[in-house]
Amino acid sequence: MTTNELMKSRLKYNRPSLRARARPPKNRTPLGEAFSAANLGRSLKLQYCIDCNRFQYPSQEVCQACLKDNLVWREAVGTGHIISQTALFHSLWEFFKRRTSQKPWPVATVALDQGPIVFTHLDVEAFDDGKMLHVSEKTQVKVFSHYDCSMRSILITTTKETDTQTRETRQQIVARMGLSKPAFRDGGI
Amino acid sequence: MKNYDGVALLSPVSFGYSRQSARSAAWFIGRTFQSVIDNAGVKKEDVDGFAVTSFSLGSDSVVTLTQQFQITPRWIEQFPFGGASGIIALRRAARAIQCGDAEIIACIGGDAAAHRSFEHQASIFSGFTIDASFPYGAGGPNTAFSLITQNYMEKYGTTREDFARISLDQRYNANHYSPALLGHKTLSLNEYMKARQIAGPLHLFDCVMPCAGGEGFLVMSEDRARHLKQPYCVIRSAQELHNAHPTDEIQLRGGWTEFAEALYDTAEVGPDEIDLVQTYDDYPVISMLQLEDLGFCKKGDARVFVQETDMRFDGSGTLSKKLPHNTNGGQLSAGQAGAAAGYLGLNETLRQLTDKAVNNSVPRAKVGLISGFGMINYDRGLCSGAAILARPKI
Repeated sequence: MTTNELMKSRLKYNRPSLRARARPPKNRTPLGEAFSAANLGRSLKLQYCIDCNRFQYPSQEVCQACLKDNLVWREAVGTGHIISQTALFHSLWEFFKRRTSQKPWPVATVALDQGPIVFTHLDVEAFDDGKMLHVSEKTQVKVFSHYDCSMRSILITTTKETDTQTRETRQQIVARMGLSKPAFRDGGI
Repeated sequence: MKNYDGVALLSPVSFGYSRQSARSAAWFIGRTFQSVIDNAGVKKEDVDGFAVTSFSLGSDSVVTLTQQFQITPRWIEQFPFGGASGIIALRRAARAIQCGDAEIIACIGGDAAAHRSFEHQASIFSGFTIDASFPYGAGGPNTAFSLITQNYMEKYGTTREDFARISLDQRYNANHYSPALLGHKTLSLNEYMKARQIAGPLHLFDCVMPCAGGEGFLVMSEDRARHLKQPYCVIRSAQELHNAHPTDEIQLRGGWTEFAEALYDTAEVGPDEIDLVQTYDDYPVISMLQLEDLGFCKKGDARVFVQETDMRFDGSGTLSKKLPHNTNGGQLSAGQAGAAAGYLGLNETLRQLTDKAVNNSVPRAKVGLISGFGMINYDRGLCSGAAILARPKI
C-alpha cells in the first residue's frame, strides 16, 4: 500500500462520529472502578489510610504518605474551596464535543477541607442563575459524587447550600448538567 | 555534584515535521538516527549507546529498535518524559560517556501523529489521567493548563496581551526557520486576540499543535568530536527535579526554583550573561513560569518582562531589552512532535552554538540556556530540568 493510499484509508475515518448516542468516557483503571463502586448510592467516599488518618485522591494502590496499603473507602464531608475553574470550548471526546457545541463545559479544581485536591465538573447553574462562569477563587463549595450515564462515579462541585443528601437531589443536579443522558446526534438520516 | 567536563554534544537534527502522518514512530526515529550519524560522519557500527524518547512506540521499546536498526549498543536508555526528555537524555548520556559506559551515544526522539492518535494518547496518558481528569470534559492537556493559566492571571494580573508577546515573537522566529510547521504564516496581535476560544483563557494561538517529527543529537567525548572535525557544544551545567513542590495547591512554580542558583553557580554565568534561552513552551504561561523561576525576572513579573523585552532571534523588535527566546519558534509555531518536542530547544541551542542555524542565527551567541518541563499528570507538570550549554574553550 502506498503512503498516499494509506493516508486516504485512514482519513476516511477521520470525520465526525455518526454514533446516535455518545456517552462520557467509560474507561477506568481497576482503582477507578473501585472508586465508582464505593460511591454508588453515597454522597462522597474517598480512599482513607487508617494508619495516617488521611484521605487521598485519585485512588491509588498505596498510601502516599506511609506507602502501606491499609486503605479503606470512607465517607468524606466534601466541603472545600475552589482553586481554579475554567470552561472548555473544545474537547477530544464525542460526548463533550456535542455538549460544548451547545455551551462551554465548566470544570473546576477544588481543595477539600479534608486534604485532597479534586478535579470536578462544575455545577455553574447553582451559583448564579446559570449565567456565571466566574466562580471566584476561594469560594466555599461542596463536592459530591454521582454516576453519569456511563455508570461511572464522577465528582461534581456545587454551592455549599445545595442539598446533596439524597440520591434524588443528586440525580436532579446531574440531569440538569446533562450528564445523566447520552448526547444525541443532531439531525437524522 | 561532579560537572560534565569533557563531554561534547553535536550533530543536531530535526526531521520530518508534519501535521499528520501515516508513518509510525519507528520510521521517524530510524530516519532521524540516519541523518544524525550521516551529518556527523559516524558509522552506524560505531554507535555503542542508544537512547530513545517517544510516546507512540506502542509495544516497541529502545531494545526492539536495536534489532530493527541492526545496531549492537552496550548502553541503552529510554526517556519517555515529555518536555524534560532532552535535558534528562543529555545528563544520562553525558555521565555514560564520562564513565566510559559508551563512546558514541545517539539520543533520538521521534513521535508519530496518525489521525486521531492524539485523542487516544490523551485518554490513556496515566492512571490519574484515566480515572480523575480525562472523564471531566476530556479537554486533554488544555484543561489542566487553562486552570493553571486562569489562576496565574488572577494572581498576578497577567493579561492575554502579555501572553501574546511570547506567541508573536516566536512566530517571527519561526518565519525564519524552515522546518516550522506554521513558519509560512505570520501572526498579528489582532489575529491572536480574535482567535477561537479553546478552554477558559486559552485561545487557539496559546495552544501547541500536535504533530509528527523526529529530533536527535550525538553525545561523545570532546576528543572524539575533535577527531571527527565536527563543531560541538559543551555542558556548563545541568539540573533536574521531579514532582517539586507537591503541596502547592496549583502550579505557579516548578523545580527550577530549587536548583536555579546551583545551575548558574556551576556554569559560572548569571541570567544576564545568557545569549539565548529556549523554554518549554507548550503554553505561554509555562514559558513565563520558567523565565521567573530561572531568575530572568521576579515571580509574577513575567508580564512586565515580556512587555519590555524583545524576544526575536535577531533583536529586530522595537523594545530596548533583548533576549532571544525560542529562536526557532518553539513548539507554539514549530509544532509539538510528541515527546520529541522535549529535544526541540536543546537541538535549537546546539544549532545556534555550532553555527548550523541557517536563517535564524543569533549573532555572537556563546552561551545558551535550555529549560524543560514535562508530563502533565492530573493537575500539574512533574518534570523540570534545565541546562546551560556553551561553545568549547579553545
